[in-house]
Amino acid sequence: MLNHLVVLDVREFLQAKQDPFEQIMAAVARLNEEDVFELHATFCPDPMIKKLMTGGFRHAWLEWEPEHFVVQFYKEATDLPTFHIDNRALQPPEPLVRTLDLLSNHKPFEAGEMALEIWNLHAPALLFPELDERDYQYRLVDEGADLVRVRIWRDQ
Amino acid sequence: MQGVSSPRGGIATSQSPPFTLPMRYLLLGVVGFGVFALDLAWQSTALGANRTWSPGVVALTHTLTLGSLLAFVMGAVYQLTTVAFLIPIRALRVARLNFWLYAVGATGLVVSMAQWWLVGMMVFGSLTAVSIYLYAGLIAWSIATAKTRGTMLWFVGLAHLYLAVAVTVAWLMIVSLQGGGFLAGVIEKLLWTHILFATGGFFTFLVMGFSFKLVPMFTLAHGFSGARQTWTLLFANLALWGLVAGVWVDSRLWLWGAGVVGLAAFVNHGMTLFEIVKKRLRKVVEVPLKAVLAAALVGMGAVALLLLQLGMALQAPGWQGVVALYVMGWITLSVMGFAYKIVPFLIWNQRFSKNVEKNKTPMIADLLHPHHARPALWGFTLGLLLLTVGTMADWFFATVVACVLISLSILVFCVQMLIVIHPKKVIKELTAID
Repeated sequence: MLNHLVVLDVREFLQAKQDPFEQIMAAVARLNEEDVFELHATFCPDPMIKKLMTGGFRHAWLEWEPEHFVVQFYKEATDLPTFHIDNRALQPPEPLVRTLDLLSNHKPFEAGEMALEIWNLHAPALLFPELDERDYQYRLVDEGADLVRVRIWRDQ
Repeated sequence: MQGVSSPRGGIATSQSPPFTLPMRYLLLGVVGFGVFALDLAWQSTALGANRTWSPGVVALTHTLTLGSLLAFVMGAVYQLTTVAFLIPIRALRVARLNFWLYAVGATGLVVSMAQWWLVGMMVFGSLTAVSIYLYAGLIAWSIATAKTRGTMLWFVGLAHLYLAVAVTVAWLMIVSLQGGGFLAGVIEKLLWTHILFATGGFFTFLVMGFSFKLVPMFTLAHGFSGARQTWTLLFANLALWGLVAGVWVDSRLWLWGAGVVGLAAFVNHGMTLFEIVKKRLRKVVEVPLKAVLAAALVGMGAVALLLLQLGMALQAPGWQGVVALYVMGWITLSVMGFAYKIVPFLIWNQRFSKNVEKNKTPMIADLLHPHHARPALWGFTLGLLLLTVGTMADWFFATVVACVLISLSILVFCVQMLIVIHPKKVIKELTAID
């Protein structure tokens, strides 16, 4: 089964003072076991996080910019909250640039409080020296079927 | 409300060809470089004595262009096309079989040239031509399906069109050597047309086009403008066709005008590369990438030398100096520079990329550290500058020393490539996968 990053942006709903609960639950209902659900909201939606955690989901969130929160829900058991990005449709060097940008612009990664998992078509050979230089740990698993998962984290 | 989506593309198919396809060509290219290096040292006195049209030197030139550069470039294109345009290579089986046709054709052609055996040149030249047409056709067919349609696509597409033209002209030259009426009278024009389409057309367009992808990839650059690339494409085309027209109408003014436009193309290309490098994430510009940048400067120098040569007496040693500087300084140095990045990358990908863990898996730099490219690349550059001076000044000693220095540098390059490739392992891999 291929992993998907399923994205739902509810910021316009929230700005219009509407409740996007039904849309969120409909999206969650369509997820496969390996999928990651990415929710874009204007605040960190604690009630929704609690609700989905009771359904077996784990979560990780980042403040992308003021009033733009990105929360991801996934089922895989991980030792650190894990943020995922799907680079499979990007052309080189965009996957690497995007990964390094994310790592350097969000404190939870630098502080070792959150891991980053990137999904690539191929092993990002040129990324590893950059991660070494920035003192990150990494582990790559080639899942076959056009999916290479690289988990990146910093030891606390 | 934007709804549910998978904006990063979700499912995409793997586009890369099997390892065996590019690796066979790259291996042939490395062997070709080695043979060229040894033959260059052997022929250094003939070159020093200015016997550049002897069969041995003609064969030497084609060992470089067909045996090393084109073989290497074909391997790299099969790999890079899929990465640059996110497309698969069409008719992979034909591409794989075509390797053998090319290897036999090019080897036979070079040997026939060395013996000046016209029948052999005709037979093996035709085989090589068919193989190159097939290759160019496969690439054209593959990139025709690309959804990304930028300047790079035009560079790569036109490069292959010009390759087909260069090969056709070369074939016509061989026919004319058999005593073919009208063609025999224009053989010198055909020769210059062949040189222009092969070097100023195919190799130049390909190196320029792929530089727009490879330089950002290896320096991790982003946020640079691509606006200049279109101008480079325009100038490079105008220069090429202007020079060809100048050759056929026998006009020095045409040639000079086209040379000026060619210089503009190189200046523009150089500025594009420097802008990319300025926007890099990587702290250090590695030696192979510095060589690629130096090659662009040398290309600029070669075109400037062409203008100087046109403005002064049009004598043979000067032209040979210009051609040598362009082919070796711009094209060969670029190919060698990129080879130091591409070959270790491919080998690492094949042997180590399945499961990677920090401090447990060898990295690309463990196969061949970019710093180790220094002796080969800078030795080659120094030798090349000396060769240009020696050739243009008709200075025997300098030319011979330059040839030996270039030869040694290329041999170092070959040994390093073979250490990375590990012939025993690669033969096992090539036979196992097939």
